[in-house]
Amino acid sequence: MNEVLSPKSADLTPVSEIMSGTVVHVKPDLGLDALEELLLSHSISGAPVVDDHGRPIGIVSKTDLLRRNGSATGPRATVRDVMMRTAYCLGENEPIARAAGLMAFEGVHRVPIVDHNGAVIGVVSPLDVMRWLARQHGYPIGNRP
Amino acid sequence: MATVRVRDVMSEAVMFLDATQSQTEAWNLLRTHGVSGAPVLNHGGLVGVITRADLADPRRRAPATTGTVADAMTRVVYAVKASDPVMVAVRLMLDEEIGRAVVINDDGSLAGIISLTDILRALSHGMDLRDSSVSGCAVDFVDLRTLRASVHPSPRHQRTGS
Repeated sequence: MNEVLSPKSADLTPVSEIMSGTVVHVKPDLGLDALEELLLSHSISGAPVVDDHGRPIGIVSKTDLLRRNGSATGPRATVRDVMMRTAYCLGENEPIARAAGLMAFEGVHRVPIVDHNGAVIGVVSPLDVMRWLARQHGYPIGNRP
Repeated sequence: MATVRVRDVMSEAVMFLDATQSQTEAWNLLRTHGVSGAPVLNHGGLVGVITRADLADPRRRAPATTGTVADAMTRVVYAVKASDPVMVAVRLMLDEEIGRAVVINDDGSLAGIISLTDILRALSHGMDLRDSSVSGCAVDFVDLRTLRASVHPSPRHQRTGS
């Protein structure tokens, strides 16, 4: 490592620096089979659910797919039936420490990042924070796996 | 500056699952305990780790009622020592793309689990996780066969001191 190691605080670094910018997001009326295929083909464990204006209205993950077999859902069940309706999200200028706190204490594994219009522009996951942490300490970690 | 070590941020192992338990039972137990994953024992020996995500993964999910924990668990067990700097665990998780590692004491007994959540919590509390004691990677390898004798489901394990 040539650069001088000067770790930045998690309180001072905005989440936009570490978020994953290319976001797979889904509409609430997507069928669950299609969702499963989407998650598997992108090798992701979940995705934000957005309204017609791109604003987050929930989060859906692989674990939610388990609920497909519950009595409340039928064969035509959609994302809306199983998603977690509260989408904790953060503005792009919020610090990493806040994202870390949200994920640790609210038990969420991905936080949608929104722009000033409230539209989703990225997602931060625990691994994004770990990669940032590692880079801060001079470990040779790529931006994306 | 004191180095933050694994023992400072890890969660003590409060629950274990048995390899022969049903996946439904495992799911309910993980939920009840509010944890996302737990070590798996078979005849008292550590044989794997299972997470809620494993149980939810369509590629691992077994036919409704017949699947056991052993069918869905991850059989490779990654371990760090309680005395390792936290950054050793961070690096292990990144390199191996895992969300948790088993923590063992210097005497080989099971101390707990360190997960991404534990590290996030430390960060949000403003802990400085920089490692001032070592440069580069210093991972010790642990012979998990020695864990067999010392892992037991019930009592908490004593810490090995500071």
